Amino acid sequence: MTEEKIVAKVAELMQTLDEVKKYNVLEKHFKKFATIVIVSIVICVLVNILFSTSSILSGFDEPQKFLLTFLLTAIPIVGIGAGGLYIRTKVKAVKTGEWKEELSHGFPSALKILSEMDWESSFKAVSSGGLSYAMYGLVKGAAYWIIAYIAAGFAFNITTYLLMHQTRVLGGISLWLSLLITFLYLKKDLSRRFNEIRALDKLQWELRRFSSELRNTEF
Amino acid sequence: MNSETQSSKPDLYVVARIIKSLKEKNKVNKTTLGTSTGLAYDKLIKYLDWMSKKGFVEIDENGLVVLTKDGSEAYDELVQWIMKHVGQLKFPRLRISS
Repeated sequence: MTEEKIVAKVAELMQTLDEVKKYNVLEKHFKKFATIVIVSIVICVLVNILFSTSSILSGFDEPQKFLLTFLLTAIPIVGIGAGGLYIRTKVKAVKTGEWKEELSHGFPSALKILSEMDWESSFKAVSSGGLSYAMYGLVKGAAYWIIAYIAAGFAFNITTYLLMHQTRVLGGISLWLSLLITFLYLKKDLSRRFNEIRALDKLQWELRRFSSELRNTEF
Repeated sequence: MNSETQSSKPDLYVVARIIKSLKEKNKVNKTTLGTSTGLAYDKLIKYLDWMSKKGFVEIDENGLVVLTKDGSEAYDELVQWIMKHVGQLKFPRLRISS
């Protein structure tokens, strides 16, 4: 019974480390994700500048101009979608459970896994996984904010245009409102991310304590 | 078992594998033991040599390997020792959201 418990505990440990591998995917592919998102935002901003400084839209009336400007938000939306999809594909491709065959041989195999575990690289993986996860959330949040900002700007402008036949009368209010909208929209996601990062920290300490006990105890 | 450390620090999981196999089969010849533990014959001989010096196994007149009471107790002690440390592990629930 005790041997089975050990095998189950080691299986749990390996499953947790498999999960950590997924966080490390973010570290590995973060640059690409950030590039996709940032490039999509830059394109959106550049096209917006082009619209307002050139005479490309001169043939359109005001409502049509609004609509075309609003459609620009589709660019960063597609960027975030593509970036997220890219990360999701990479996370799904992580190989897990490679230890299952070994562990199926019972207690001696559990002992082997523990003895041959590279603790230092596991600690590193947990810590860099947490950092990348936070960075990923940050870039994603910033991108949502920019989209919300463009959308809010559009909503304000069309409202003021319909009511007063004027645009850009509310100044920077859309900046703060979009921040609030983004915060409310991502509230659950933010708290989940915070809990995940805390869980990774906890895991780091748990593994450090365990590995030091294993190393310092003489059998 | 590395050549430099073979007399002082054997791989515990190999020792455990040999003892577990002996527990299941009682008396067994070296070839069968090598097969059931997945160890190369020369490696098994080195381990058996170390284990018999420690009093964990005996080799009878027919060349059969027998687990001693000390060997059995050492295995149980090893299980308890690992359980003491592994049992305390608490894993947080991780679920990545992308």
